[in-house]
Amino acid sequence: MVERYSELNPEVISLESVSYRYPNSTSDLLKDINLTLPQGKIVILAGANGSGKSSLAKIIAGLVSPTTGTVTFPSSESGRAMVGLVLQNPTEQLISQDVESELAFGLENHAIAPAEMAQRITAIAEQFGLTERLSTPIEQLSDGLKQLVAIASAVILQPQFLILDEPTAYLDPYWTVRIRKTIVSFLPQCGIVWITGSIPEVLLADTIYCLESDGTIGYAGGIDSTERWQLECYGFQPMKTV
Amino acid sequence: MKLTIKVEGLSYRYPQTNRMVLDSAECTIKTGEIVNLIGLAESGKSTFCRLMKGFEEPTGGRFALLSGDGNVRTVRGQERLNLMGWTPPLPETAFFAETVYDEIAFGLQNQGVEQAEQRQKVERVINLLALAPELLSRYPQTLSGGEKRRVALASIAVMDYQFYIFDEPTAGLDYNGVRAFEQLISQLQTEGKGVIRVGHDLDNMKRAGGRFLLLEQGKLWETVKVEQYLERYGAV
Repeated sequence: MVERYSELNPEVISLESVSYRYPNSTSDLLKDINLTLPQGKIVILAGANGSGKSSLAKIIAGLVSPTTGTVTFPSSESGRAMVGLVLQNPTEQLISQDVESELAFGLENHAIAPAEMAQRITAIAEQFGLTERLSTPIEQLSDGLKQLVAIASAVILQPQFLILDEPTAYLDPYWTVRIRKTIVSFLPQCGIVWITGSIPEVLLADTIYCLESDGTIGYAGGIDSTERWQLECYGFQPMKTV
Repeated sequence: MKLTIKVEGLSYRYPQTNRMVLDSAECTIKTGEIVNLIGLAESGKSTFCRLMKGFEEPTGGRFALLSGDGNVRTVRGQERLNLMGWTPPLPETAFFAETVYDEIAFGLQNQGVEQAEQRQKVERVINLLALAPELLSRYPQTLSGGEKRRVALASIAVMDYQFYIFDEPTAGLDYNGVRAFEQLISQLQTEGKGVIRVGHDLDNMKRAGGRFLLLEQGKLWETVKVEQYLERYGAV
């Protein structure tokens, strides 16, 4: 696989003929995927469980290399553009003892100055309702709060692209709506790649790509008035939402 | 026989933080009904489920059991363990068996259920959860996320409990997975079992039916309207 940094097109992550096969597997999970993910837009990844959405998210984030094909990341002053990833299961992502160290971890690794670190932690803690919980051990948090910490830890790095794998699955309705609004507020500086089955979230899409069971992309398009996307991406007839 | 769990003056204080998460909470849950337990993050839903299952005793109050003959008595932890099936959020992270069949049949094997009956029960539950029989010989870790979740749910649903507590069973499941879970709980209800479903997917909960129980500031509120709950937290 080839990973390239492009200065020609600084605002796009692009995937060309990307395929992915698990080690020891005899077939491709992802087959010949071509995608353009622009900054300033919301791209929704749809598809049934097992269709490879989470693997694709890790490839887009540069965490996993595709078996074949090319991923091109925009370059920035420090090399590759900053891509934040929020995993489906927050417990897989959180590694620190308490909330504050978790928020600080990425910043420390990017050598952010201590004064700015403190400033960013204070601001993000307030935005995510974590101010009172900074010293709480991660293990004492509910799944919902763990998910908030995972999102906050990605956002605090001010990424140019944010890859979100079901970021509101464990959130209550209040935080679901608040996080949705927060995610939208990152536009247009950030490009959002969002895996979700929640219709109010899908409706925010500029483009939806649906992964089929054979590893290819089926539906690729916007939210159109025919509501074909509901049937093709989520397998059901259009229905009213709460 | 119809059974009712009566939650009376239930209180619980976390030992680490001294926070009172349940404060004289009261409710009744009957066999043959589906109860959707909702509430904000950190409201204590999972703690309530773990107490109900019997892993711990409450700081105050009790779980009482009313049987059809009018008999009322306290049910302590050990007895609740046998009365209630429970799955935590992300139950698939606890897989340990070599095959899907052994993962699902583990509880039955421990009870000494004979092999033919074991297989019959396993086949019945995977059918309810729309899992293909070919999966039974697979190594559980090679399944997709949705299949893993359904296997984990099957490993509890295959056991004969009076009540089943499913904590966030559908988070991360696709449409077909959610429908399969709902088919399972509908069948459990038909068989006269009590089902407690915890989650935030209110659309699905409303569609699948059952009454809503809200946990808020340590108290349980019965027969809650979802619209009121959403409105109260500015989520509409």
